[in-house]
Amino acid sequence: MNANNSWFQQSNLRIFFLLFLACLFIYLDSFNQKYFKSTKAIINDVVGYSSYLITWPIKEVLNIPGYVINIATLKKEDDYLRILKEEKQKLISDNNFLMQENQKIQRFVQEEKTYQNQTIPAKVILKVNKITTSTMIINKGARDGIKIGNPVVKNNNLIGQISEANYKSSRVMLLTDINSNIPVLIGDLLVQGILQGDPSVKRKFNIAYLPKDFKLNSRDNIYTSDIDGILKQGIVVGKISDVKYDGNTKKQSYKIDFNYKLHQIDYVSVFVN
Amino acid sequence: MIRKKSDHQEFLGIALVLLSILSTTIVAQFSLDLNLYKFFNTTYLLIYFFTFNTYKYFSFFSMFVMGLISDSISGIPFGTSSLAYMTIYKIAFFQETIKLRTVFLSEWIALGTALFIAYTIVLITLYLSGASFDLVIHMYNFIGSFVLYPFIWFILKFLLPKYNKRKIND
Repeated sequence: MNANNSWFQQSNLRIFFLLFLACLFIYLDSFNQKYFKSTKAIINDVVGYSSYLITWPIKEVLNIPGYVINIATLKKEDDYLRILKEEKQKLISDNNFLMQENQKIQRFVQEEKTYQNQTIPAKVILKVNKITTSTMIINKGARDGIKIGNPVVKNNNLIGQISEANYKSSRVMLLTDINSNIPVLIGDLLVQGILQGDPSVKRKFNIAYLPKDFKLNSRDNIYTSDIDGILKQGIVVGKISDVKYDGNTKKQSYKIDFNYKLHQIDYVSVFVN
Repeated sequence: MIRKKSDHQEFLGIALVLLSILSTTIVAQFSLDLNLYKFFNTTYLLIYFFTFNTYKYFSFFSMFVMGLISDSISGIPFGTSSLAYMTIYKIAFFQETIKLRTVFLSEWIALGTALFIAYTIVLITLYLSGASFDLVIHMYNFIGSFVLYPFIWFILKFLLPKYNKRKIND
């Protein structure tokens, strides 16, 4: 049979078939993942690693000015100091946390030990910042023991949750993602709230469902809560800063400081307990 | 004597579309605070431009595959971008066949229609799949993409050196 006369080459049939296939994919992906999970995982793995290979040379070329500047400014020494500072911050955060939780200290210490024993290090292969999502793709997947919902941390700070586990890669939904809703505990009183990703505001977060008239304080720490039964309690999320309260509107503005710079993250740890 | 695009020029179109899909991952490597992605979608514009100018590797099938790649990277339901890309491709293809290509305004208005339908498809799919989305950001993105098209058109039509058609002898 002549290739030009095959059914697939006939324009209307081809269009209909591809439109049908796209709609079928949407349906299977959104409502009936059971039959589509394996196919999707394979496609995601192939696309993720291929994209990493394609973009790697471009990123390296674009990084050259950064390398030159780093060499010129003795970046290594700077990095060493930064690591020391991060370690110090981490110790301070841990200490504050333990002081606030003096009623439950033994339980949390046990959890910290559990985290240390059940962590998988992973390399970030892609960072995606789009109108619909804010995610990262890491090089560890279901075959390495990663499951949907596992918390992902950097410098002992939560950066997101696993939202998709393929065979050899996983998607991390960052805290800034519009679909991210993390139950948190805030400040000395461990007030409950929900940290929601919100790309429409500059800080890209909102703390929702706080008690009425509750005022945030600068330097209040934010920890995860186990109220949803998915995350473990007590993982450090960040620290509140620059709180400003408007008496007329009764609204407060604030920032959240993190112990990392998201775009500089190359490696992360996934809690798999 | 005929004027014809060489193979590498034909390939450039599809390569630029692929690069535009991957561009968010490249930009995110350097800063996640750059919110350029909010204001326009270059992939839609490039698909429209290259289809309108009859580049070789643009077809329903290539749009379907590009859409899957985009969805896989973004993490939105598979098939969403495929539908949007195929819609833009079809409208651009139709616009090219009705011989109005010399009038830029008609090309631009047809792009507006294509973008509107594409964004509507994406929003409906996100809504049906239960994903959260910000309608205002999508509106900014739609308007930004529509306004940006003349600039993209000018750059690709006149300034991109490889776009210049090569003269070859019969």
